Parts: sequence; C-alpha cells; structure tokens
Amino acid sequence: MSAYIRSLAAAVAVSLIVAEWREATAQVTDPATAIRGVVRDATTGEPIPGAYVRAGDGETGPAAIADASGEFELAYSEPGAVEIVAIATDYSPLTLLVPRSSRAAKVEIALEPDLGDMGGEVIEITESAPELAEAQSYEFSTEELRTLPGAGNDTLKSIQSMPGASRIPLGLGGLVLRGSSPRDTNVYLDGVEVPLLYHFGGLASFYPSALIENLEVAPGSFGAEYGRAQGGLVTLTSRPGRTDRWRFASEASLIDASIRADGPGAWGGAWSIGLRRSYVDAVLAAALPSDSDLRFTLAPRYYDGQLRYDVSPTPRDDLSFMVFGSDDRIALELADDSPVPDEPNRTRVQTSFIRVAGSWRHREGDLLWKVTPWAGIDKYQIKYNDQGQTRTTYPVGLRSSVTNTFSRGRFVAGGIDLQAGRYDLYLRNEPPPRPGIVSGTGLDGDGEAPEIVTKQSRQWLTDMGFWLEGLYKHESGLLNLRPGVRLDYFGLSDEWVVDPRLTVSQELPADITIKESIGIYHQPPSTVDEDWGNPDLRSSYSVQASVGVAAKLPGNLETSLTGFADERYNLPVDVVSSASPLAAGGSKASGGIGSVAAELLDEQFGSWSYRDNVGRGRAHGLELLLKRATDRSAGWVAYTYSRSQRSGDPQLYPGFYPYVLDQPHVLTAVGSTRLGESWRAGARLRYATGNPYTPVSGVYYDTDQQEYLPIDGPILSDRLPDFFQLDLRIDRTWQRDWGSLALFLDVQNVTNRLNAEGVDYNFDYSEIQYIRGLPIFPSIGLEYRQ
Amino acid sequence: MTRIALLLTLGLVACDSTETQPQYLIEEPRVLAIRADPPVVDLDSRADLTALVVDSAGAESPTTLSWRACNPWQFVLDPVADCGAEDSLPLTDATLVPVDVLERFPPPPDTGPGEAGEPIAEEGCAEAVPTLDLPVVLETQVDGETLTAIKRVPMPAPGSFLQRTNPTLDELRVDGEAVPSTVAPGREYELRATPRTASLDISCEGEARVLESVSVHVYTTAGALDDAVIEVEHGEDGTQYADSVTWRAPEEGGEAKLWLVAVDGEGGVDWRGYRLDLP
Repeated sequence: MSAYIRSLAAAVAVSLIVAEWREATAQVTDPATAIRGVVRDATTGEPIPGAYVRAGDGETGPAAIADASGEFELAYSEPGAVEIVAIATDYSPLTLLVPRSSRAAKVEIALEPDLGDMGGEVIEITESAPELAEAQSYEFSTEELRTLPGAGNDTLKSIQSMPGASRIPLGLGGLVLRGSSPRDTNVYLDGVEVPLLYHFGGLASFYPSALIENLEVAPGSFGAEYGRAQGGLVTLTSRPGRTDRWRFASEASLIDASIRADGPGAWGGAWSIGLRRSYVDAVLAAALPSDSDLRFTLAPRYYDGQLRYDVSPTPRDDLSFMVFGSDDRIALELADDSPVPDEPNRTRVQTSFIRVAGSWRHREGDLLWKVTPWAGIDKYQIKYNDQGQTRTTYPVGLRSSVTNTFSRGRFVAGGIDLQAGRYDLYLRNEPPPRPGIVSGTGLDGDGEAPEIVTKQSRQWLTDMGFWLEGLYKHESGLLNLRPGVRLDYFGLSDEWVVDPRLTVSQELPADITIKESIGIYHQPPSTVDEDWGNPDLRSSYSVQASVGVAAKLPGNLETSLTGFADERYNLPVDVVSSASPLAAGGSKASGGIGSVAAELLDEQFGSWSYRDNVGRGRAHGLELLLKRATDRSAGWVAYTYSRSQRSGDPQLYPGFYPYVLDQPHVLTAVGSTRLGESWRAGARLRYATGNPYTPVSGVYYDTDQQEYLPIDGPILSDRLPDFFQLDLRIDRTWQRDWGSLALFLDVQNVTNRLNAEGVDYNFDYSEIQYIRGLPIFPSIGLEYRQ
Repeated sequence: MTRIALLLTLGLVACDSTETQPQYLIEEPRVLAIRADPPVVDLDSRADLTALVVDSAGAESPTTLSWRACNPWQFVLDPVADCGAEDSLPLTDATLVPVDVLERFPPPPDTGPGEAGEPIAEEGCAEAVPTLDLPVVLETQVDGETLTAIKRVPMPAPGSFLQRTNPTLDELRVDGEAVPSTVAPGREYELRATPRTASLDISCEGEARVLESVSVHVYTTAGALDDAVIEVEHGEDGTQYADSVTWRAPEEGGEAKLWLVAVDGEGGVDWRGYRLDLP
C-alpha cells in the first residue's frame, strides 16, 4: 500500500513538473550549448520515457522530458559544471553534477528503482571528449573511482591510476604528474587550496570518498583560473546535502571508520556532515611485541571532519558554508644503546589543518559571479628529542570571478585569487652547510663550529593573482580559442610574474577533437625553502605544451592520446651540501625510498639543505587513455610514456639526470562489472618501470665512524626492477527498506609479488638487496547508506 | 636529525631486508683502525700515524702503508677522485704535519681558521673549540686486494687550545675474568672492555664537564656477537657506565681472533687483539 501511495505521489509530482516543463521549454534549444543525455533504469538498462530532467540550481533552470528512448536535451548556456536533477515515477530521484568537460557529452543517468527507500545516489557519468577547449584533463565520476580495485574505497588514491601519473612506492600518497615534483601540483576542494591530500603520506585521503562528487585531474596545461603551481592541478567538488529528508551513512574498514549524514536545514538549505577516525593505533599496539625497543606513546591515528551547508536564498543566489579539517599524530619512543640509564629517544610527528570557507554564486542574466573566501590553520610538527621544527601557518584566501556567457558557449571570465597568511616557524636543529662553510670541516667563515641552533621566525606574506580567460568558438567548430593570462605577485620573493596560456581545439566530424595547448606556469618559492637561510630565492616556472586528440568510438569507447613537453627553470636545488634528493653523500638510499620520501615531505617539512634557483627540469611523453563505460561495467586502460629529468647545482652535477620518480612506462588496466543484481567484481593491473637509483662504484673505510662509505656511481643511472601488481575487488550490496549495505573486499597485490622499492647494501657494499614493497594486502570494509 | 629520524621510521615500517654478513665478522682483509698520535694536532705540531690492518684470518698484516693528506677545504666524498695523487700531499714517513698541509692547500680567501677572534681555552663548556679536520687517506694492499681508509685528524684553530690523548684499553674481561687461552665451542661468553679512566679526556655534555664516552668496537674471525659495540659512558660524578656484548664461540674447533677498537669522540683510538683457541 505504501509503495502504491509513493508511486502515486511520484506520478502526480511528475505530472506537475511536466506541465511546468512545457511552459518552460517554449523556447528554441541552441544545439551549440545543449546538454544531451539519456535516462535509464540502473538495474535493467532500459530507457525511462517521461523522466523529468532539470538543469541548474534552483527552480529556474531549463527542463526536459525524456522521450520514448529515454533521451533528453537541455538548453543550458552557463559555463562550468552543471547540476542535473532527474525524477521518474517508481524511481528514486537523482541529483548529479555534470563536470564541465562532460557538458557536451551524452550524459547517462541511471535511476535506481524505488524500493521503498530514498537511496540511489549512485552516479554513472559517461566520460567524453571535452568541448570547452580546455587542455586534456581526466575526469571521472567518484563512484567508478571509489570502487576501483586496489584503492580501498578511496577516490583520491586512485589518481595514481590515471594517465600522466607516476606510481608512488609502498602505496604512499603523493602526486607526481608528468614528471613534476609533488610540491608542484596544487589540490583544491571547492576552490579552497588543500595543503595535505593524504593522512600519513597515503594511508587514506583527507576527505571521505562518499562526500566527493567530482574529481578532475589536469596533469598539466590547466587554465588561467589557477596558478602558483608549475606542475598539475587536481580539483575536487564536494557533494552538497540533500533537502528532502535526513539520511545517515557509515563506513568501517580495517583502518578507520566514518559516519556521515545529510539532510534539510533552515531556509530550504541542506546540511552535509562527516566525521572519520582511524584505529591504526589499536592495530599497531596489538601487533607490536611487548619486548620491542620501539614503543608508541601515541600510535598513528588520524581524524578528519567535514561540515557543509548549502542554501539558495533566491533563485539567483546560492550560498554555501563549509568547514573541513584533518589531524594526524604519531609519537614513538625508541630505546637507545646507551648503557647509562637514560630517557629513550622520542619522536613526535603531527600534521593537521583546518579550513573554513564560504561560497556565494549569483546569476544575473548572462553573468555569473562567484566569491569564495576562506581561512585556515596548518600545523606541521616533527620533533626528535629536543630537536625538530614546528611550523604553524594561518592562511586566508579569496577567490572571486565573474563570467559573462555569450551564445554558442563563448564566454569571457576574470577573477582574483588572493592568498595571505602568517607563517610561524620554530626550529631547533644543526644547520646544514651553507655558503661560507666548508662542508665536513667543521668551520665556517667566522671560524665557528656548526652547532644546534634555535630559529624562531614569523612572516606575513601575501600572494595575489589576477586572471582573465575567454573562449571563442567558431560556428564551424573547427577553431576554438581559449586564451588566458594570469598576473601573479609572490610575497615571499617580492616579484610579479605573467603567465600567458592558450588552448586551441578543433571539433571534427565523428566526435573527434584535437587540442593544442601552451602556457607558462610560475610557482613561488616555499617558506620551507628559506628555513636554512637563502632569502633571495625567486620563483621557478615551467613552460608546458601539449597536443592531444580525443575521440568517441563505437561501443561506448572513448579514447584520448596526448603528447606533452615541459621545460622547467629556476628550480630551487641544494647548492652546498650533499643532502639533495640524490643523497649523493653516500647514503645507502641514493634514489629509492629515501629520495622519494624526501620528495613527498618536501612541501610540509622542507629540505635540510641550502637552496638556490639554479636547477633545471624537463619532461616529455605520451598519455593514452582508452575507456569504456556501460550500465553494468566500466574500465579503462591508461598508458603513459614519460621521461623526466633534472639538473642540480651545475658546479657539482653538470648535465641532466633522471628524476627520482622518472618512470618511462606506466600502464594501468582497470575494470569492474556487475555480476547479477548485487555483486560487483573488478581487477586492476599495474606495470611501471622501476625507479632510478645511484649505483655504488667504490667503497672506503671511515675509521672514525668505523663504517664503510660508498662512492657514488653515475647519478641515478641504474634502475630498480620493473613494478608489477594485480589488485582484485569484489563487493556485494544488500538493498533493504532501512537502507543499503555494501560489503567490499579489496586485495592489493594478490600475487604477493615482492616488488623492489629501494636498495640496501651489506656493511661493505659488496652485496645489494632490494627493499621490498607491500606484500599481499587485503582491505575489507562495510558501508551503510540510507 | 629529525628528518633522518622520520626516514628511519619510514624505513622501519617499509623495510623487508634479509640478514647479511655482519660487519664484525672478519673474512676478508680489512683496515680496522687508524690512530693519530696525538689524536688532535696543533698547527705547529705533528702527529704520527699508525694503522691496524688485518688479513682474512684476522692476523695483523705487515703490509706497506701508503699515506697521503687531502685538501682540508674540500669534503672528501671519494678518496680517489677528491684526494688522488695530484690532489694530495704524500706523507712518506707516516707523519702528519699541519703546516705542510696548509702550505700545500692554503685556505680559500673567505674561509679558514685564524679569524676566530679571541683564543678559546677549554675551561668552560660554553663554546666549542673550533677545529679544522685534516683528512688523511691510507692505501694498502693485502692479499692482492687494495684497501682504502680515511681518518680526519682535528686541528684546533690557531689561537685555540685543545689537548687530547688517545684512550688506552684495559685488558678484555671474559665472563668477568681474564681472557682464557681456550674457550668452549658453542658456548656464550660475556665480553667487557673498558678504557683506563686516566687515559680519558674531559668533554662537555651540555654545561657539564664529564669524562668522554668511548665506543669499543668488537671484531672477530669466528663465532657470533649479539652486539658489536661496547658503549662506555660517564656520569657527572665520574661513575662509569659500560655495557657488554655476548660472543658465542663457534661450534667447530680451531682458533678465533678478537679485535677491540676503542674510538672516542675526538679522534682518539686504541686497539687490542686476542687469540682464543677452541679445542
């Protein structure tokens, strides 16, 4: 009976909506700006005639009724992502965000049959060739990424499976896009810069996947709206709450548990709330032997939390308020070898941040205004006994833009991108060699021996960015021009820079698009680069160029092939000591784990070295993506050929050598399919060329230290064996009146292959052995959704 | 240090290393130690150099030693490339003469001792005495194998005063007794070796002046050690704290050589060798 009433109510609602639509669509649809798609039954794949589809926020957006084949067409000319609502009798309503690069694609909407609950937030979007003349970026629905085998239900960890991304050892986080350093790529959530993407370097991402609506990765050549990064760009869009009723969900895995809820609020708004806490500490505490010299006084644990409120006070205005943050802490004690009864060696690491942001969107005719102010606190602390550093930052920012849309999708947009803050540093450590000191001699120019120093500093810095961008589309589609320019002021280096950028695309018959892009990307020096005293650091920059072709093929196949070439200038590199990423001073990890860890930690904790802008970098390569998505299955093959090189201090290392994460060949094949109504299975296969490392060419004995020291061979001239890994995932969903329950089992490295991630040697370097990667690693989790 | 600690922590989590031959086990010709006498040499003084070189059986090798001093203003990463024949000063009589080294390698224009201002006497612990390390490379051939070793001999900045002596090791104690002539195969023995207190220098630990710490490295040609270093430290009241290591004698008969190399924090070195018979 209740199901009948619900169906009847839905039918009435649809009828009313259809009437509204007929009135609203008394206008001609412009084919150049239309959004086309099809509404299907998520279970059977059958089209749903009569489904109501509306675009845009509020009640004023264009609407359409799906025809007999389930297809619809919406006239919608505003740039950027668009929210689409789909409603049909006997189906759960669905709200989805169509990413800007998928606007011209055929949007596939899969509605879940209404089983008596209001579930059905599964979103399937068919990827398409971008039509807004943007350079090649890779955009995926969060659902297909979250259920990616090997990702452990974590959307952001799947970025490494995309074209242009290097594999990071040991399953750690970090984004190396087109051979750039992790610090060269910026990540934004709803326009707010995120300082730390992963808990503990990759254990889990900072934002629960279920609360992310869209993920877009631009390995390079992004537009003028974003700056201060000479590598790539990752933009995340969080999921707003729903307004009809409150829903609760929770998820638990072997390492953490989370709860989330969304529902209606005051003034017709919607809340979205999430909280997550890890219990790695309990697992490790149980696993550590009682007689171990190592003891966790605070085992690794992380929190993250999210709060978002969305409201539309008028049909033309949308407001949102959000708070999100993350906190990671670990403290451990390690007994030393001293015979004197003494305190153990204590290490403590904390990385945390919080962001408070607001957003206002206002539409006025063809104008769209967006304002996003934000503020936050970042804290990075690492202490080893009485030495270490604490870095506390209080950043504030403002992003504001205005877009004027014209016919055929042409637009002009401009905006400001301000960021300022207070940077506090407390540092107590032995300084590295610096100009005027003779490395290893113990004397500097004043005849003073290096010693433990305490440094306390406070800086107020302001970065300002102003950008202008436009899109001209010729009627024929054969020439789309998207020029942009960005003017930046970097407070730390007190310099103005100009970054012109241009993307040209041609839309050819048979859904083929060709794109060419070139641009300059400046990046300011980091405050961490000045820890050890070079106040004269300037910005570095890259010149990026790419050419790509994208096409839609029969059988729901889509493909893109992009060639890229980057040149990087003025990179800050170590010029005095040997503590560069090369670890050329004879470290046992010249390349491999040590160097990669230094790269991953560089932005948060800096480099224990004195740097100058004398480094160079260059990269080139090809990215191939072949993707297929249907109602029941999805998958892609991503192959990247890439060569990335660096040069350091020309006086020490003339010429180029491979970047520590240079991986010429990276291949990822991933797919998942539904098995029946409730089961889904998938697999991911990854292959990557082994990372480079510096071989040992000789050895001598240091009698003072009573240890052998290696003599480095040619810098990063050898490579680890190639990496290969197979991951499997299976999940099952139970649909019940009280909600849905999904159980997943994700097994990484099912073949238990002992991949080499670094090198180690015996005491006199006469034998080499590999540091092995993760063994077979199962991850199991349970997710409940209303 | 913090960075190293973090990387070590990462390493602890990540490493899946298998055991390799331990450093304490002598199976190939080795240079085990170099001693400068005195261990810290003044500008207008000289230091005699000796070395402990053993063959694959652990016997002290009567080999010819080739000594050379390197450019002290350049960090020696590679004793061949950075301190080759043309970039070094030969020390034909195994004697290091700082004046000769600085004459061969004069200080760079903006760097070097002599600008330290007031002479610093080592009476308080407020300031460390600035020193310049004089790298010395030893090359020798044993059983057809070329061995290379390096030692850095500290030289106080002119005007500074720093007097150091080499430590002197007391006799090794085995299970608290004098070293036995024979040991039982497969049995575990506690080894304890400490330097004579009178041979130790005073060092600064924070603001306190204490007897210096000494690390006694243990090497053997047979058997196994649970730890290869005996740490000797001292409290402010002069109390000596010394740990011990456990040596498990080999199962098979024959002989075992034990070498103890004591190293203090200021370049001081001493060594002692023992032969143990196994029935």
